[in-house]
Amino acid sequence: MSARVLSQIWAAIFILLGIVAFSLRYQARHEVQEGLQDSLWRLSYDIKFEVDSPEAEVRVGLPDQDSSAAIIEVEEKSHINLDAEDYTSPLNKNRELILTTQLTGNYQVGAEFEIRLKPRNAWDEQHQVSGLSSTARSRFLRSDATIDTAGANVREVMQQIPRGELTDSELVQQLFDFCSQSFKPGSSADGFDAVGYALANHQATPLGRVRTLVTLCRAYRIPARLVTGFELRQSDSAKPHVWAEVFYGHHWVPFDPTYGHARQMPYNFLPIRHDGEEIVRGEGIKDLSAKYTILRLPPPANVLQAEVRRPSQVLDLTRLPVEMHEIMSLMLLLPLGALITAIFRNLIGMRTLGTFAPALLAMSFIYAELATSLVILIAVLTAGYFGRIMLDRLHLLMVPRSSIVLTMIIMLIVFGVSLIDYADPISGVRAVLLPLVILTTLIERYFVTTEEDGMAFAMQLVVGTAVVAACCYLILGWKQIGALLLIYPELHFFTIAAFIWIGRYSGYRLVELWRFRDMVK
Amino acid sequence: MDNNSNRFWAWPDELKRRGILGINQRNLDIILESNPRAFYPRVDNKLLTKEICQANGIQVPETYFIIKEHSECHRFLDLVEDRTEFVVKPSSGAAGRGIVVVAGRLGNNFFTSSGRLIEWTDLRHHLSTIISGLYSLGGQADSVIVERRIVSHPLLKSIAVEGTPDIRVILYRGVPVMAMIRLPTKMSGGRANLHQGAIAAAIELNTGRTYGGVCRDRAISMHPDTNFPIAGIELPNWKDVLEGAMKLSDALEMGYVGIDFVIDADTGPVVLEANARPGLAIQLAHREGIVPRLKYIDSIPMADRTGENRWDVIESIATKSSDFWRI
Repeated sequence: MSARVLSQIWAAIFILLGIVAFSLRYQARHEVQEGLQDSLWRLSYDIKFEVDSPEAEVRVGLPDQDSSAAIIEVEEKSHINLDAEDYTSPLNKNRELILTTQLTGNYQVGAEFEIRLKPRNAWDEQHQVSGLSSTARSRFLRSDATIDTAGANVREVMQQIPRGELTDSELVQQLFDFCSQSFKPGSSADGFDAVGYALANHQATPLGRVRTLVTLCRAYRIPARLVTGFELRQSDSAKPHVWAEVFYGHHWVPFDPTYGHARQMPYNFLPIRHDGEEIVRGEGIKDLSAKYTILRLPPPANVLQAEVRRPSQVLDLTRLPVEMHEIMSLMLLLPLGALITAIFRNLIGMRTLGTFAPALLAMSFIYAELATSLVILIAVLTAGYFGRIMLDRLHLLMVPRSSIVLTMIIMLIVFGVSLIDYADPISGVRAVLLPLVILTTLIERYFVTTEEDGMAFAMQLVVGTAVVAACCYLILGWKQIGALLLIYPELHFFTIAAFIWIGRYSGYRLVELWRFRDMVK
Repeated sequence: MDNNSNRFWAWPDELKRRGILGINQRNLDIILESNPRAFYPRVDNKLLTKEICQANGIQVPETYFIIKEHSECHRFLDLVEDRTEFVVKPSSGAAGRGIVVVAGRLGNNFFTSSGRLIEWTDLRHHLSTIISGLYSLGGQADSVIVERRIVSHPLLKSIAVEGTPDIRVILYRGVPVMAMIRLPTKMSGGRANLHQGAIAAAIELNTGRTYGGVCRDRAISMHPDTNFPIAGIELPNWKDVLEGAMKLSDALEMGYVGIDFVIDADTGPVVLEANARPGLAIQLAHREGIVPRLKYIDSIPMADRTGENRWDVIESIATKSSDFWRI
């Protein structure tokens, strides 16, 4: 088999290995991460009601399935004389269980949900809605018995907070501040649930505050609605919580005047019903009572056993002590440095002093702090250069001569570090790791090149070295790449495949397109 | 008139159509395929190359003596006797690195061909740096060869400045495919080193006449120092150069090799060194790519491109029109 075909086969094998290893680890990590970060909860409904007439209907709100809470199991324990139907409202996307009774009597309905709660990620944007349909818009602007936008008290508030040039966002913030700060707590027995009552007495229940906020928003012609849900925390008699959602900037934006959450609800708030104040509501029934229980469930067994020692853990570098992470990811970055070097040499055709010296220099710069490294590098190169000129006259043999340069560089660095420490005790000590031997050989090589091939050629190499080192620095200094490689070191199977490809690349180097430009006419 | 294009680059397929060999293709398709790794010492170690030449009756500069150890350096003055002209070179050096040409002497003070003074202490230091391996490939300990200085053939004096022109013949499967002469200039400091500014001129394989010309990768037709046209010079002893090149290539058993000659005023062509990774500038000097010639050699049956039959192949390469070499 020819080398070319064999190389192609090996490159394909490495790519395949990379894909398999990467996806296996991704899957395993995903499972453990879910087990550790996510929490499992059980939400139970216990609903009782009495029916006098046969055709009664009860609507039970079900948890929303969104990115931060996934329902993994639903168990419904319905009464035998009930027709149950799942229904999702097109307007609000509410999930409901519609129960229709056949007979009169007492009913008891139970439902259980197992919910996996995920901490919300920073990039977990709210669902963007392109715009509200005219139906939806009029629905969320309308005035009704509990949301009376035409009340006298509402107009009074609108005079206090003039719309003026305020953006929707600014206006809603002012309304939110108003609703969360200007009311004293009140009880629903006194009627402080009602908007007019609350505004007149400056006293409101949590529901009263939310109703007021929604009423005011609608009065300013900004669509708004009430949301009922649960805060997931352990309780045998959980109370539903009500907050508001206001539509502007293509989003439904949550505001909770009771707890003060604005623009984002904590991830453990589980919405059940949008545009509604109750979880369960019914027609033609009486004595409706609903009891809600929330229970935290244990994580899966394999997660609890994650710390058991297993040989396969050797493959997991993230298990190593944190202080080793940086040096490990730095080592894992080295092959990428070599890849950049190979690209520059074999595809572009740029020449450097020493093959891997630029990449290693860049790595040391990444490990230390840039400014300190630069100062030390310049000092080292200057000292090395003049030291070498001085030594030239002594006619020493090569190894001892380089060793003197090395010793001088080390002395300079230790006192340099001491000086930096004296001036600023925190920074710079890590710059010691600048690869001294590399610098020493670079200086020696520079001298030989200057003598043998002329200053111009030597400078060409110096520039090449600087360019490759700068490129390596920019790409490898990207923190996420190091972190990613530490988690997925098998990505280097792709690096090897890339090396094989470059190793078999017999096309022109970029500089040859320039070098041989006179050959085409 | 120099016929340089004003473009900044050529497209890869344009170069490919002109048959230009790039470094990657040279390394992968030619050198890796044709030159067995085990035979590299035959070209990398000049002492070995010399031995092979002598065993095959190919002329090389006469070796005066060899220094292998640091402790022998002090004997240099005894060994060099009262010679006033000689060349000091590292046995495993590449691209002419570490070579000192002594052209004059005043007691223990030596002078290079360009007139630079080298004191004995300097020379001794230079000897020990060579032995330390500063110029050798891979930095291995090396030995010093002290050999006869070649005096360039008078015919070449007019086009060489401050140094000795050398001739490179590139052979593929034992057949000479391209040849050029490298002329030192003031810019190159008297060295026949192309990337320091020496000139290269192509040589017609059958006649040994120069044509083309390149300096620092740009086409030229006049020597920049002497204003002498560099085309149309008929090289002396050309057939001997080709003969020696073919003999050495056979002995080296390398499929792709560059052999460097100097034409001595007295003894004619002598081999300076052989190179298993010859550069690509020879194509610039010819204003022509080498790939079609290599393919042409491959297309000829083995029996027709060995032994004395090679002269016919050389004749046929040289007389093909430039259109023939277009891909």
